[in-house]
Amino acid sequence: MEVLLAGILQSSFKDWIMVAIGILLIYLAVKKDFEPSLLIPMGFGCIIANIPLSGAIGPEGVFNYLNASLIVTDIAPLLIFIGVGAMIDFGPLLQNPLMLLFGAAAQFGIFATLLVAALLGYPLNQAASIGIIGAADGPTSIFVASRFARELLGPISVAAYSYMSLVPMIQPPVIKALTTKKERMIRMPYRPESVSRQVKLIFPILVTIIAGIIAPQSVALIGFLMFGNFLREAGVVDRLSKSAQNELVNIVTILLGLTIGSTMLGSQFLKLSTLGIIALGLVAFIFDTAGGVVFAKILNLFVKNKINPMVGAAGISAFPMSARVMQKLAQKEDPSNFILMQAIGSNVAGQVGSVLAGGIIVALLSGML
Amino acid sequence: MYNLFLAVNASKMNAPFSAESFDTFMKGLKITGLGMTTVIGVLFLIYLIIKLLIKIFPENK
Repeated sequence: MEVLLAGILQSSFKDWIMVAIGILLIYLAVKKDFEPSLLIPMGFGCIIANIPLSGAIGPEGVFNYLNASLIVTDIAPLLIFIGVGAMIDFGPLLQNPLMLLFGAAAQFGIFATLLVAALLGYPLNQAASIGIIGAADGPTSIFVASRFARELLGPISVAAYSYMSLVPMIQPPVIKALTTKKERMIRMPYRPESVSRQVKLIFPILVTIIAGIIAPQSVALIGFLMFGNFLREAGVVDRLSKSAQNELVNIVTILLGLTIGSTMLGSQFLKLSTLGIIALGLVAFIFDTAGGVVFAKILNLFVKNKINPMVGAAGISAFPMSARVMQKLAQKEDPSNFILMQAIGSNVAGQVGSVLAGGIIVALLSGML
Repeated sequence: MYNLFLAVNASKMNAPFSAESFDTFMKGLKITGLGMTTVIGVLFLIYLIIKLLIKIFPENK
């Protein structure tokens, strides 16, 4: 009888709090539609790992093997990037390449948060891993955190994916605080450049080579994303492209979510610093949005055709939600204003920018630590 | 099998706004300066190359 009750007898309140957090994640995913494809596996992984005396963790536990093979090796985030690349249509960006600059400006949150975290006492490796929540891109956050602060993988992943779902609530107040109604009503006539198939095929190879030269340590990050996009654009491997977009991403997402959830152990997760990370994640998203908006406003001082600053805010990588939010906001101010295509271009640029920023942080930090 | 769960060693936190945290801040400032400049520079370079590619490979109408 004692054997059967050992779990209850040896459990601590922290285990049960974590089980409750796992259930909360599942609730948010199912009821509120917060990134359900990742939060459901994460929630379940968290429950399985925190059951007292769980055999799923520990030296011979399945999660230990999954962690060692998928996360420590970076395999899971990289495989997801192949699928993400295959899903993204860079067409709107190539038709309006100026939007690339917003994809850069809206990464400001990563670096600003790194600085805030450093001031709050987080060591450099952790501060950088927390800052990368501002990439608004789950796999990039996991890639960087698994290298430099594996102990924070759980809270960083929860923050990254939760705030990506909360973009419709986070971005509008920041934009309203930084712009006037007149600025939000700026119309941007859509004059797309015509883009040939050759350019669409050269783009992923070009980005891989340039980013690889700048940050060779993390070339896999952008390389896998662009490889996925090449599969999509090549037009001769539809089967591979569809597999990358569906089966590959789905299987890896399930395993990645479960494994990350399993790292959320009470002894490591229930700390004041976890709350700090969740709060700093929000700071990162706010600075990202501000960076994009302010950059657009600065550009407007020099260009003839004014840019709606909300397009700058779409430069964060939460694709395609941020672009949709901007279009909604624009139409709220002026129902006949249509900035969706420009916002999508900026949003897609944010995907490239965030991966690039992640890679550059890996390169810079590797040289410092 | 190496136990990754037990192997995790959280780095030591500094006191907020202490001399150590300012030291980390200064290192972070260096990463920020280099990082932001590089991200903007690389994406601007890609922008220029795309513009060039669009001219070299125009779409056949």
